[in-house]
Amino acid sequence: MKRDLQPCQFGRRASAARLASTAGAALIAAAVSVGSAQGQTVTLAQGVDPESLDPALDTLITSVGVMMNIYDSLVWRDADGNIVPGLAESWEFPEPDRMELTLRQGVTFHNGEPFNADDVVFSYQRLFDEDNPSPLLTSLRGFVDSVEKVDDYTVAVNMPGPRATVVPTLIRVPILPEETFAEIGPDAFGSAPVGTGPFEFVRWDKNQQIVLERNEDYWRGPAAIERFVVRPIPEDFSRFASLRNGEVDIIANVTAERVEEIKGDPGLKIGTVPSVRNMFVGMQTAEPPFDDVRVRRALNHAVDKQALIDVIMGGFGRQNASVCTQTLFGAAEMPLFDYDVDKARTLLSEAGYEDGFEIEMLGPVGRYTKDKELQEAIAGMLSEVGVRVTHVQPEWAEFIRLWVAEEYPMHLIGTGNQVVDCDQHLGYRIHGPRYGRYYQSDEVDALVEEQLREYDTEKRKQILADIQREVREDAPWIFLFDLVDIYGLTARIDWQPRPDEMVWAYDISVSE
Amino acid sequence: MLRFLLIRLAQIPIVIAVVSLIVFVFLNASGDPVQLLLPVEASQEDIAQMREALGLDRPLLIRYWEFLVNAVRGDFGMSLRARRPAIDIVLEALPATLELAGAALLIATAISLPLGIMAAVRRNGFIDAAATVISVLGQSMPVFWLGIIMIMVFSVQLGWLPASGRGHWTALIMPAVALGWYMNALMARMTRASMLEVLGQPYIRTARAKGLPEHMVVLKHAFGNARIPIVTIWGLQAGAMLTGTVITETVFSWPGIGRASIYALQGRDYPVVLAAIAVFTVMFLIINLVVDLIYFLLDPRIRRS
Repeated sequence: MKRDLQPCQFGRRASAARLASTAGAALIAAAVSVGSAQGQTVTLAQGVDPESLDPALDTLITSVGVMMNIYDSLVWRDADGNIVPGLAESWEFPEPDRMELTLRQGVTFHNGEPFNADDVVFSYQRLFDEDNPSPLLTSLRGFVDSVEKVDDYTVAVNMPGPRATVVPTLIRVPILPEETFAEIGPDAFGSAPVGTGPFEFVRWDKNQQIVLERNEDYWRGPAAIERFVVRPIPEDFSRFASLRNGEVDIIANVTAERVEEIKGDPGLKIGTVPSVRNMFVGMQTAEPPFDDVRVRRALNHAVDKQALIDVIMGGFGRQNASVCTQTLFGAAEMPLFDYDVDKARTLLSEAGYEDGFEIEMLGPVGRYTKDKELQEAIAGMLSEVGVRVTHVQPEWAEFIRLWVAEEYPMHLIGTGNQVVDCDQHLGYRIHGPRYGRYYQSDEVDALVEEQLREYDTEKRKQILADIQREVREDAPWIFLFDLVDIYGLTARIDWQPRPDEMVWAYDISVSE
Repeated sequence: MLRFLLIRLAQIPIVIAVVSLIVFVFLNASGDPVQLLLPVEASQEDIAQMREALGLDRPLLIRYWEFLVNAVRGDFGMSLRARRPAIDIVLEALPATLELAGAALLIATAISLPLGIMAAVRRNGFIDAAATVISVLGQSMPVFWLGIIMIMVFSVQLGWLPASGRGHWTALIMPAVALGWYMNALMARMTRASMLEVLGQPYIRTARAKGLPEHMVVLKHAFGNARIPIVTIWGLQAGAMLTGTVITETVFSWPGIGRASIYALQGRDYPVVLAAIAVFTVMFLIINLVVDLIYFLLDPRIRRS
């Protein structure tokens, strides 16, 4: 290239040189374009392939993550956790139990079908079909009763009552094209979806790869990368090997031991984000021995949580004595239960268990990072105060059945959060009018109801803080820690992971 | 011959019925597909509604009978999770499994037969020692472990082969070798043993005595008689290879039936599991049938009886 700039001094030789340099430039240009075509493809590897790309069928977070690159919701959450407009430009509450949303105009689906209120009504109302119930409905029930059209670009959401968290709840419902869906039918649509999102569906080789291509007409502006490929690689080690080999660019669920290895490789780097997931040991508070708050507090003092984080989790974790993960809206910092074996022993003897007791602990294996090791370490610590734990560790399907049936007095589990709001954690973990298990409190129930109706964010935060204090005093769980999500990335990837476990490729850029 | 074939074919549905009943009962004895399908916060009403919609609220035996009646017509029902025909999910994955198992079978056969024959002919020589080492290593290394070691060496260290996936032919090499390795080891040992036995027979001496060239003695007279037990082992191992795909496909992210069925099993998506088992059973029975036919061709004594 440089030679081209030199003045041509020697007739034939110069032209030969120019010819050569032109050819060279063409070659370089070709090489660059090939390089950038590869460079503009970003590949994500995760554990499982989606069952379907129809949001009404598959609600697993890894599948939802893929879908959110294809579809848009009415409302969205940016990488910093702020609620931002999606297909709805703005919204207001004409009544406390009715929300009206003004839709974005001029948006089209990937196949050209224009987007309007009918698509929104269709996408919501199909979830309420009783003959064909959707697992996604569970996220909406109690928050949204129905969605109706006001005019072509306005929809109304009817709620059973005032619901402070209705806005983030809408993030979970992607908008589908009504006409296209009717035309090609649910089966074909679930295998080759059409949305308005930042990436268009190209192909899906089942259990092999899903290929998405940039939507050049995206209403937010086109994404930085051209192609986004999602590959299922079930085995941890193979996923890691594929990253090191440069076959994939992003892997999720990296274990702490791998972190040093990744850091030591100049071609790779680590991305971390505090997760929405909180780990804890649940106790059956309705029955002895855990119906006595002194026993529950004693167990909290008997477990050295910082040691669990440092030794087992490789330092990736954050102690938390609140029912809410600290990444959630409304989470408040609660005073920790200090590790104090003597205090634990004293509390246990006050409750009449000076010799401790035998207890069965239910726990999953292979579901959460280090779940088996955690159970064993916790059991070891509890044995110091005379609590002798027998492990019950079935595989996940059986674990969930036993857990739902409340068959065992203790269990290790983690709760995630799809709306990134404290309220959902309260619903999961506290037995109230909604669905929680193992712990119930009338005072807390009343406060939970109250915060749900409070639209003023500052007041609501106050109530949520009161709830967290109340629950902390009740100590219905052995409070453990919030997880940190660890991603392995190739060095060229520029991306900050989101706390909600989704990989939104619109935020990814590539530097060569 | 035809009678024999018909009897064998008639056995297929009976075997499938028995196998599927066992699987059906076990699958329903633990876990609950509806609770796995719905988020953990699902209310009792949500669960009941979903159970009814999927038809899971009816008694076990009635559901099994329905399954059986429909399965006869090739309809294994809808996947509980993907809500499309279960048999489609399995058949989509079939080519990948056949490709993997076929390549593994080819590798195992192509290596083990010459290796076993040569080891027997040059008994206690270098090749024999090598064959012994390969056999011991092959039979004592679990597929899972072997797969991870191979990925570590050939993908991570050397960067020669992709660590996962399917598409480029290079991606087939490691899973096929890992899957075929055990069979290769066993077949090499069996070939060696049965060749040694035959090579000690008087008719081999006779063959040599009448001046036949050594390769004719080995390949025609010795191998010709040693191949019956080898075919038996080959058939058994080809069937076992199908079950081996379950692990190999997971380690190498190979999109075949083994992986599809493991995933369905974890989700208690029993229509898919049953469809996969039916397909596995049919393949197994076909292999057995082929082996029986090969006996017919190879052994005149069976043909005559």
